[in-house]
Amino acid sequence: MNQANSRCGIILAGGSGTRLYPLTQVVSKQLLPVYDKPMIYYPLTTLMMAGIRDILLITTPHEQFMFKQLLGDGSQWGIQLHYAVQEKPEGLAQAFQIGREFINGRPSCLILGDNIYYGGGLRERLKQANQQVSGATVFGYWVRDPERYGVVEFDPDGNVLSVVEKPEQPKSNYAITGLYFYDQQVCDFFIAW
Amino acid sequence: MTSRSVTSSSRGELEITDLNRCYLDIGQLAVERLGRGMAWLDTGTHESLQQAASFIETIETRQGLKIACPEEIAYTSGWIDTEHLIRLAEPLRKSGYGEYLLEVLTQDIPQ
Repeated sequence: MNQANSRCGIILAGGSGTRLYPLTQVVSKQLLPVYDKPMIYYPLTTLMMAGIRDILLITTPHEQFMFKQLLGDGSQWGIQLHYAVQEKPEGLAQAFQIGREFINGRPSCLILGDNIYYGGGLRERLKQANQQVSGATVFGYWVRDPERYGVVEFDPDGNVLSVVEKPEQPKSNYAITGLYFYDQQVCDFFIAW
Repeated sequence: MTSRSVTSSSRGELEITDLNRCYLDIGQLAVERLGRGMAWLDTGTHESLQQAASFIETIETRQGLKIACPEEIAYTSGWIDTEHLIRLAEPLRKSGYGEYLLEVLTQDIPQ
């Protein structure tokens, strides 16, 4: 599992959770129950189903200990878990600043700690995306309210024309979901830090 | 290497959409569509959190199979062995979760 070229995973589970107050005043949002499991199990297993076993979990500084109590070093599930903190939330792509040393030139996969994926054939789709060695693979999902998300515009042949964050006039109903596969050059797109 | 890079946006954030645009600019962004049979749920509000829980409950109860069970996925991936799974199941038996892990061992559960 220490192969230099195998893809690593990052789960972004920071954020203040104010939209769920008072539920999240004491407990991290990503530890809240989703029926019979803590929320974090869902994105974690999504990475595991892709075949990713070396994973960085980014949390707020004050909530990290709870994640460590629940998940430990991952060895109980045959994976390696590492921890990092996000001092304050400054965008989803901040995960690559925080995770730069962990990534260490490998391909990576970012998943948001509050996103849940389920469906037939999901495991195969994830494995396929993990095997893609160059470029980025993201997923578009038809939603009623695309203006809340990054929205992708396709041409009639299915090629991507544009990607726009929270557009007032969405060009399609396809939202980009919270699961992103990137190749080894991802950190090169960030400058001046 | 490329003309575009990710810098703080007008709302002071490093936007993932800007990163995706970097890849789009160099012709290396693949957007795969998840079809109608897929569920992508977010849990950002009280309503959507409750809906996600109900969705998971509905399918798990109907099938008797768990969604997002790390022990099961580790086992079916060959990352942990039978003895290890039994050890993990033991302290979880009172909630039924451990019983499920033992079913994973004894039944031919679809992946």
